Amino acid sequence: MSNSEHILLVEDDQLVQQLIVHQLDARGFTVETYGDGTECWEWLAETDAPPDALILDVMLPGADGFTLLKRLRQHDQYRDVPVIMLTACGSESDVMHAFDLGVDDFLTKPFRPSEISARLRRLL
Amino acid sequence: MIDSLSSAELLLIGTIIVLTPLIFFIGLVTVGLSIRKRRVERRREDLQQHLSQELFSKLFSDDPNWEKWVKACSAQERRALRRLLPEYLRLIRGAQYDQLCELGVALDMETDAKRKLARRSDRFRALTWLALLGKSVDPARLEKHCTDTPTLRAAAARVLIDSDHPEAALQGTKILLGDGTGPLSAFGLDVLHQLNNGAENPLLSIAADHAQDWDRRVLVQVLTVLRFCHLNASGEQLGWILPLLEHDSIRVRLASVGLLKRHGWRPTLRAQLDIEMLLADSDSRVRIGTFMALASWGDATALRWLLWGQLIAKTQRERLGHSRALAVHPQGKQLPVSPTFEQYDRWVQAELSIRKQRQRHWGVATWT
Repeated sequence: MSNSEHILLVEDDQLVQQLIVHQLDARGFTVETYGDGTECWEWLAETDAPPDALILDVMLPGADGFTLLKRLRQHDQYRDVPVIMLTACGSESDVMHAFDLGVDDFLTKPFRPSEISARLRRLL
Repeated sequence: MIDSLSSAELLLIGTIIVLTPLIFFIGLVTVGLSIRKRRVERRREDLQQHLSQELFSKLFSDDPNWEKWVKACSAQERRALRRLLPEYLRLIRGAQYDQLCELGVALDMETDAKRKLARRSDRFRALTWLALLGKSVDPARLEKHCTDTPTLRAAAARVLIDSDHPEAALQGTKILLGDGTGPLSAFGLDVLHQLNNGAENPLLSIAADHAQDWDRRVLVQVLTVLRFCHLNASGEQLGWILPLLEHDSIRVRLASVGLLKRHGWRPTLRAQLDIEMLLADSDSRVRIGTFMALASWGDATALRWLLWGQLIAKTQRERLGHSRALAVHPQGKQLPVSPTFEQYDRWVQAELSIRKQRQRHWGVATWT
């Protein structure tokens, strides 16, 4: 399988960003990163090259992960784009809320780095 | 011209002459220090960035050979790695976590941390490293060096949990509580819960022996933690809370009733409880707590006590508490509502409908 898919990672923690980018790069994904929910949404609303999948952190500066997810699911272009959410607080209510909003998968920190690429591969 | 100036004017001019270069000098030094600090930070960031990339390539390779890499690193790089490693240990699990622990060993972090336990200023960091690396320490050593503050006690107990020490539950609980004279930190409460929320509950036997000697705040904390623990215990093992139901502190009585709500259903414990005394407590919060305990036990005997409680609930708060309890009791919710309690029942029904909506998003039950 060729992994030239374009992944958008929205994560404000630099360490997590570096870790995921390294992991996905090594597996042939093209990764673009944003650290702010609002900036990311502005880019998504204007871009002609939408990502194939998104990895969203829940706690973000600007619009948080839930807000971003809600907007994505209300947008024609992004309604069916796979989204994986990533959070340090994996409370039941967070997970339920994310699935209610239409997330495809959910990962809690700390996580196994290889799990992210495996989950992405399943969704794409 | 100078002769024409007054002494006050001369003083002012002198002050300006002295202060101007001084302020200029301080400003210059501040700017210089800021530039230097920024340069150091930038160098550190660049170094971390460079090390992160190298660390990742090794981490995801088949044979990282940390020893060789660490030997080839400069002292500055090793220091940066020691700063960086704990951050990644917090983030990662699985095979890569085990690999990072190996890097910690190669960086001599375990030995260094154990040495630093004896140094007051480095203890907390040393405990953090040991917990993140999952390295075990002799509980006696932790007890000797790490009981100065509630935070240190909690961190020491956490090391025992994270290193899977065979006596973690007992020794960790002992370290956390100490002589029971000082309250636990919020972190300590969480650790105490982790230590006792399972097959082992050493807190029960420790409390049975020492509860009467503990500070009231510690007593309330222990009762609260036990309330939220899964207890693998008989009613006899909880017998020590019986005298606490008559404690002169309302908070202790309230916390004891809270524990009864979760664990008081055990027949041998219930047989010894004086429900009449609890329902006659001088504080309405204890009486309401007893209503809720009876409701959670949920049997016919508890319902009979609840119906008796209806007669003694005089204040609005108590009646509301009583209506909430009846709404929780499996048979209580099927009983006809007495006219005195109608308005409270309506309130409770409204709360329940809101709660159903809330549970969808937050999973919160506010008073059950």
